[in-house]
Amino acid sequence: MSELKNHLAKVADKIDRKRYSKREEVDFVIIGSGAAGGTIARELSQAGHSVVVMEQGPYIKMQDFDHDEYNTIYNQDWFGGWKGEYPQTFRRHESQKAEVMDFLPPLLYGRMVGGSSVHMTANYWRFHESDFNERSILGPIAGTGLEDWPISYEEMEPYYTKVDWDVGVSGAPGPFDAYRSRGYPTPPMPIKSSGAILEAGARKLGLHPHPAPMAILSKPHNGRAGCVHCGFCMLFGCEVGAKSSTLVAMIPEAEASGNCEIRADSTVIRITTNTSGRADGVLYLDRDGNEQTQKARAIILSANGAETARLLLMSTSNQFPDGLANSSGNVGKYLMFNGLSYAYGVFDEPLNEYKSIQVTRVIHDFYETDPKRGFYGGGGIDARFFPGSPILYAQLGMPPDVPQWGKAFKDALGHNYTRTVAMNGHTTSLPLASNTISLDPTIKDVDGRPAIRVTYNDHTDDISTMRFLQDRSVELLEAAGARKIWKTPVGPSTIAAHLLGTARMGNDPRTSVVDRYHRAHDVPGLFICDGSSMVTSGRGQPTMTIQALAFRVSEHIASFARNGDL
Amino acid sequence: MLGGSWIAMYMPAILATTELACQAQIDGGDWVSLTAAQAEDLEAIMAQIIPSDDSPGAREAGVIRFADLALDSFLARMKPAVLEGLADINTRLSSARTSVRFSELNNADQIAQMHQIDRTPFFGAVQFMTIAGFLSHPKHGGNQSEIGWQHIGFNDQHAWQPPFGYYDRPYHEGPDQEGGGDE
Repeated sequence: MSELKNHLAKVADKIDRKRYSKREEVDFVIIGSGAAGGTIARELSQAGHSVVVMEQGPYIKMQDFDHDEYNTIYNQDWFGGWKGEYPQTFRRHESQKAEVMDFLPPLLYGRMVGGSSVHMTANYWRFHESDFNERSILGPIAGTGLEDWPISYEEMEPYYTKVDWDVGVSGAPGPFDAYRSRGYPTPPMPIKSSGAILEAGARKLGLHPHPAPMAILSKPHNGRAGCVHCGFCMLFGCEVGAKSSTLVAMIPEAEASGNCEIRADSTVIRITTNTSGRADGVLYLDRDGNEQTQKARAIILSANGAETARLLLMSTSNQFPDGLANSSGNVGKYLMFNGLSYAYGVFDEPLNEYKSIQVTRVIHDFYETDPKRGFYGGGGIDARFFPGSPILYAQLGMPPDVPQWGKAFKDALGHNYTRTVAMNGHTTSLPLASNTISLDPTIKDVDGRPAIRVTYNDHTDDISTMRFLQDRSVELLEAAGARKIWKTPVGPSTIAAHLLGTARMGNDPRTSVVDRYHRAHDVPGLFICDGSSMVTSGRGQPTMTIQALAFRVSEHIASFARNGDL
Repeated sequence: MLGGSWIAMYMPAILATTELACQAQIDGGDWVSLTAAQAEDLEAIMAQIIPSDDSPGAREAGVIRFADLALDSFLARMKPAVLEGLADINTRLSSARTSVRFSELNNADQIAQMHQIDRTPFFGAVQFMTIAGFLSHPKHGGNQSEIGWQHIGFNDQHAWQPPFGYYDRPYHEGPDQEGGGDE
C-alpha cells in the first residue's frame, strides 16, 4: 500500500477538482464520505449548496482496486492501508484497563473516500416496522437502554426506496418485508450454490427463503456497470463500480454538480463553535500534517459510529467539558455491533463459492423477537462463503478436526475449499449504557488523537439470540444434506464492522444526542447522521438504514436552509 | 539427502517451477533475510506443512521465497522469533551428536520433530507463512505457477457467469434464464 499511497500523493494535486478556499465560509462541511456523508454530499450539492467533504483517508479510485488478498486483508489495505498507525484499545468492562489490539483492531472500517461502503458485503436489509418501536411492543427491558425511535417505518419508506433506486440495490420483495412503494431497480443477483443449498434446506424445514437484497447492480443502472461476479467482493473495492459504494454511486454526482469538494487526506481533529455556542467550522490536519480550518454555516458529522463519538469527545470546551453535544452524557454510549453466528458445511460436489458475491439467499423467518423464546432478539440467516478468500480460508475456514500440517491438512485444503458453505446468523444487539466508545487515556494515534477505546460485552439475550440462530443454521445444513457440519463457538463479540448507537436519535434530550432531524439537542448548527444515530441495532446490515437516514436528513437540512432555519 | 530420488521423479515439474521462482526474485537470486542454511531448514519445515506427494506442495510453490521476502518487509516483526525457532530446533538436534540441521533429517525424523514443535508460536508463524506463501498472489514470491490456487481449485479469472457450482446449475438452465436467477 505504500506504493499506492505514494502514487496517490503524486497525482492528487494534478487532478482538476472543485476546491473551495479555506478562508471561504461554505454552506456545509460534511465530516466523512461514507454511506452517510457521501449521500448527504450528493443531495446538498445537487440542491445548490456549497459543500466541502472532509475525509481523513485517501481518494482511492475504482481503477486502483485489485484482487491481492494479502495486501488487502493482511496488510490492511481495506482499512485504507494505515496498518499500525491507528491503534484501538479494547476491554469488556469499564473496571478493566483497555489493551491495544495488535493484529486486528476491534473496529473494522474503511479509511478512504467512500468509507466502509467500499469494502462492505453489501447486504441491504430494510428495517421491519417493528424495528422502530420494539420498546412499545415488548415493554422496557431492565438494565438496557431500549427505546423507540422518534420516527417510524412509514416516514422512512420513501427514503429506503430512494436508496434502492439512487444508490442501486438488486432484489425482489421477500415474504416478511414491510410494505414498499416501488420495486427494485434491478433483479436479484443470480443464485449461487450457497443460495441453492439454503433454499433446499429451508424448504424442507417449512421456512421461506428469498433473494437477498444486495447493494450490487445485477445489471447496468444509473450509468454504472453490472456485476461481473469476480469473487473479490466483501473486503475488496469493486473495480467495475457495480458494488454501490458512495465512491461510485454518490460522490461522482456530488462532484458533477460543481458545488462539492472532496477534501481527502484531511483529518478533522475538532469541531469549532463560536461565542454563542454554534458549530461554525472544523480544525483539521492536512496531508502534510499542518493544522487548517474550514468555516461553514452548518456542520454535518458522518464519520461512523466510532469516529463520530471520538471527535465529539475530543471537541471539548468550557461550554462542553464532556465533549461537544454531550450535555446528556450519552455521546459514545449504547454502542451496538449486531451479533454474528457461524455454522459451516461441506458438501459432496463443488459449490465454487469463491465466484461472485457473498450472499444470494436469506431467511427472515426468525427476524422478530418471540417472547416465548425467553429472550429479546431475532435476526436473519444467510448462506455465504466466509472466510472465502484463499489464505483466510486456509487459516480459519477448515473443519476443526483437520490437523494444522501434513498430508491430512493438504488433502483437506484441496478437497474442502470448493465444497464449503457458511450459514451466518445476523442478530440484534441490545443498547447498553456500559457499551461505549471513549477516548483512551494514554494511547495516541499517529495524528496525535487519543486512540478509540472500545468497552463492549454482549447482553445475555444477544448471546442467546446468536446461539438460537446458530442452531437453526445447523438444522438448515442438515436438512440440505451436508456431508460434514461444524460451528464456531458463540461468545461475546471482540470485533465489529457495524458501529451503531453512539449519538442516538430521540425526542428526549436526556436519553439521546440528536433529535428526529439529527440536530444535536444542545448545539445549533450541528447535525449528526451515520450509524451513531441508530436507536436500535436492527438485525444486521445497517448500511441500508443509515443511507435512508442520510437521504431523509438531507431533505430536512435543505428545507431548513431555505427557511433560514439552519 | 532423501530428496534425491524424489527429485528425480518430479524433475520436470520442479525444474519448471524453480525457474519461475527464480524469475520471481526481485533482486535476482540472493536471500534477503535468511542464510542459505536457514532457508533450507525453513523450507523443509514448510514442506512438511504442505508436503509434495502426488501433487506439488509448498516447495514447488516457492513458499520459501515468499517467506524470505516477507521477513524482510511486512512480516519483519516475525523475523527474530522465526530465526530463534530455527536455531532452537537445530540446537536440540545437535546436542546428542555433531551439528545436525532439520533439513538433513530423513522424512520420519522430520515428522517426529514437527510433532514436537507444532504447538509453539514459532510453528504458528511458519504455518502462517506457508499458507500465505502457498496461496497469495504470485507477485509476492510464492504460489509459483499458481500451484497453490490449482491445489484448492481456485481460479483467478477476473469475471464469471452463472452457473457457478453444482447446486445452482439447475437454476441457470432452461430457455427463459436471463441472468435473473430464481425470482
